[in-house]
Amino acid sequence: MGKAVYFLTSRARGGGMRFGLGILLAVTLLMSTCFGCSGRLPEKSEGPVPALPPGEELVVWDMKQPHFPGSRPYEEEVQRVCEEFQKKTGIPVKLVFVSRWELPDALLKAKRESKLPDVLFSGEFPCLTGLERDLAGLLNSGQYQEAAIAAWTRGGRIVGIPSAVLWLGIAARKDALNSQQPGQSGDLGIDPSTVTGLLRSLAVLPTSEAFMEIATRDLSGRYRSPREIASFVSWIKMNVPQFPAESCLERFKRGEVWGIYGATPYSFKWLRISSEPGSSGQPVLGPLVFQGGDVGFRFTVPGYVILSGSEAKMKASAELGKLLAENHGRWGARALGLIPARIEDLPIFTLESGFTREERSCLLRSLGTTATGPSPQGQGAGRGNAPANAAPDDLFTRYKRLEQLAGVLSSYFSGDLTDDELVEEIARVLEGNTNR
Amino acid sequence: MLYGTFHKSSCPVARYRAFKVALVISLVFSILAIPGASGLPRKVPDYLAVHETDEPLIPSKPPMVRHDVLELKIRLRDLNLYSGPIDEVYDPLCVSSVKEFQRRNWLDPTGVVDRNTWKALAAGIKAPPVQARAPFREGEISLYIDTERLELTVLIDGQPWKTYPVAVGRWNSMTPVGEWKVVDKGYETGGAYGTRWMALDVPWGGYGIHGTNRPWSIGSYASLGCVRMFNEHIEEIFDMIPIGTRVKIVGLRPPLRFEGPLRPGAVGPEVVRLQEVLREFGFDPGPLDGRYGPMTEAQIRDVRSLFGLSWGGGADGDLYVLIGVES
Repeated sequence: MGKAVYFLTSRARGGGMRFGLGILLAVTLLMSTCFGCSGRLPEKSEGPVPALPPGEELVVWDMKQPHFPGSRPYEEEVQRVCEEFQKKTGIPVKLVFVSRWELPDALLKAKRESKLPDVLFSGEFPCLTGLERDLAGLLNSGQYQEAAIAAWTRGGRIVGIPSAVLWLGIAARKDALNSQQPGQSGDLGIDPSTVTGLLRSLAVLPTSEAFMEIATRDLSGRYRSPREIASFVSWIKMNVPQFPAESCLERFKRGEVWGIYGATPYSFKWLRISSEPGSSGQPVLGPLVFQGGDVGFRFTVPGYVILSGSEAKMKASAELGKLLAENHGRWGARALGLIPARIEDLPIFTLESGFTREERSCLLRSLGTTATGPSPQGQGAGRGNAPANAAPDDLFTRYKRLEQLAGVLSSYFSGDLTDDELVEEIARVLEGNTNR
Repeated sequence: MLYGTFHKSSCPVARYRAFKVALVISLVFSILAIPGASGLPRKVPDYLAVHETDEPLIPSKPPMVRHDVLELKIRLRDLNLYSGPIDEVYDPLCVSSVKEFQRRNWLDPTGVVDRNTWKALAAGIKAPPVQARAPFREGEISLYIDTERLELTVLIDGQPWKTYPVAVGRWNSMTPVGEWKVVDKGYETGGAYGTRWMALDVPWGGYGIHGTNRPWSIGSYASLGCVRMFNEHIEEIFDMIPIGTRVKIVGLRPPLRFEGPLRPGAVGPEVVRLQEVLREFGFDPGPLDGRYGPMTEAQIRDVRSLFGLSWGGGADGDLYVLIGVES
C-alpha cells in the first residue's frame, strides 16, 4: 500500500512524466484500436459483412491437418477463427472437416441435395468444382503474392482465396550433401548448381501423389503431354537409382537412402523433427532437378473457394474465407514451412518456419522465377488448362486417373513396361478411358 | 377369489392345487414386473458365452484345467481353506479344500463346484455403496471404463455421474481398449454372468459387461476380457443403458505387432491402435472400433498423400513409422 501511494505521489509530482505517460497511453489506445486486443494485424475488409436473413448460416468445409510438436492443432485454430467471425458478425458458422478422399463423394452428394458448403478448403493439390464464385471485386489481390493469386485466376476471374504456397522439392541428408559439396556443413541448404550431382544419391517414390504431380507438369506448371511425361519418367528412372516400394522414410533416417526426390513439406518436416538436431541425418531442403538441367521447386497453392448462392452470402463467405486463408497461411508457415500467400505474413515464414536463410531464399527465389500456373483443378493431369465449367465429377476422374497412373508408373519402374508401352499407357489413362 | 377357495375348501388336495395355481400366477407377475424383461432375451448369446461357463468343476484324472479354478483357489485361500499353488488346475488339494468348504456349509461334500457352491463361496460379500457425483438428470448416457483403475463410470452428457468398481481381463486376456457400443442386453439367472449382461460390438472375440457369481474378483484382473460388476451395481444401471450406448474402454493393452500391412476389412487391437494414433496425429478415423473401414481408409490415404508416400499403400511400414505406432 505504502509503495503504491508513493508511486502515485511521485507520478503526480512529475509533470514531464505525466505527459510522457499520457503520450504512452494515447499510443497504446491507438494501437489497440488499430490492431485489436490480441495484437493481431487489422483485417483488411473490402466492405462491411452484410447481415444474413435469420436462420441462415455459413457452412465451412475444411480439411484436417497433422499435429506436429510445437504447433497448435490446426482444427482448433480454424474453430477459433469461425467463432471469432461469428462473434463479430453475428452470422452463425457451421464447421465441418472433410477428408480429401471423401470430398468427391461429399461434394457430389451436397450438389445433388443443393447443400453445397459456402466456403470450401481446396487442398494441397487443389481440385475445383467449376462452381466457384468470382471474387475479383471482393479480394484485394495486391495483398497476395503474385504467384499465389495467379494460381487462382481463370480468365480474369479470381476463383479462390490463396492461403499458402506449398512446395515440392528434394530432402537430402546433410552427410549426402557434404559428399557433394565438400567443405560445407549442410546448413546452407542445397546449392542448386550442385544438385544435379546429388541425383544419384536420391530415392524416389514413383507412385506417390507428389511424384505424379511433378511428372505431369513442368516447372512452369504447364501440363505435359503423355510423351513428355514418359520422357521425364524415363529420365528419372535412369538418373535416380532407388525406387523403394516402402519404408522410404525409415531408410532415410537409417542412412540407407540419402535423399528423397519429391519431398512434401509434410515429409520434410517429419524428417526434420524426427532426427537428432545437428546430426548428419538432418534433412536439408533443395530444389528439384528436371531434364535439361532446369532446377526449381514445384509449387501448388491451396486456398478457399466460395460456393455460396446469394450475393449477401457470397460477400459474407468471402470475408470468412479471407480469415480462414490467412489462418491457414500462418499455421502452414509455422508448422510446415509453407510460404504464406499474404505478403504481410511473410515475416512469419522468415522467423518461424525453421528454415535456414539459404533455404528460405532458395524457395522464394524459385517462387519469384517460376510461375505456378493454373492449378490442376478438377481435370485429368496432362490435359491442358482446366475448363472453367469443370464439374465435381472431375474430382473422381482425377483420383481415378492418378490411381491408374500410379499403376502404370509402378509397372514401368519394376520393368514390366517398355518406354514405348509407357507412352501408350499414359496416353490411355490421361485420355479418359478410366474404366479399364 | 383364490384366497377364498384356498380357505373354503376342506379337501387338502384341492387346497394344494389352489396353492400351486397361486404360486404360478404370482411368478408370472413377478417376471412381467421386471422392466423390459418381455422384450429381451434372458440368456447370454452364444457369441458372448465363450468366456464364462456355468458348467460345474468336477474332480477328475487328469485334473480339469479352467480359468475359474484360479478364482476358486483365491477364494478358498482367503477363507483359510487352501494353501496350495494359485493356478488353473483343479488338483486333488483344491478338491479336498472344496469338500471341506462344502461340509462346513451344509452342502454335499462331492468336490463338484456347481452353482450352489459358487453361491455359497460368495456369501457375505456385499457390493459397496456407490455415491453419485452429481444428481441424476436426463441426458445422453455413455460408459467409460478404465482398466488400470478398474472402474466403470456412467457419464451423463459426458459428465461423470457414478463410478463403480469392476473386474477386467487378465494379463493374457485383456479387456479390449477402444470405443464400442452396447449391441445387446439381457437377463441371467445369477450364474457366471450374474443377473444382467450387455454385449459390446467388439469385432473379435465376444466381450461384454455383466454381473458375476464371483464378487470377490471385483477390483482385480480376473476375467477373460469381459467387464464384471457386482450384480447389485449392474442391476442399478441396467435400465438406463439403452442398446446403442457408447462404451469407451481405456487402459492397459497387450503388446501389439505391426509387422505386416493392414488393409481395409482388417479388425483387431492393432487397428484400434492405428485409429488412435491417427487421431492423435490430427486425423479423424471415426470411433476407435477396431474395424479398418472406409473412414479409416480415407484418413490413411490423406496421410499418405500429404507425406508423399506411395499411392494406395494402405497401412504399411512407411505409415507405421510416420505416425509412430509400435512395431
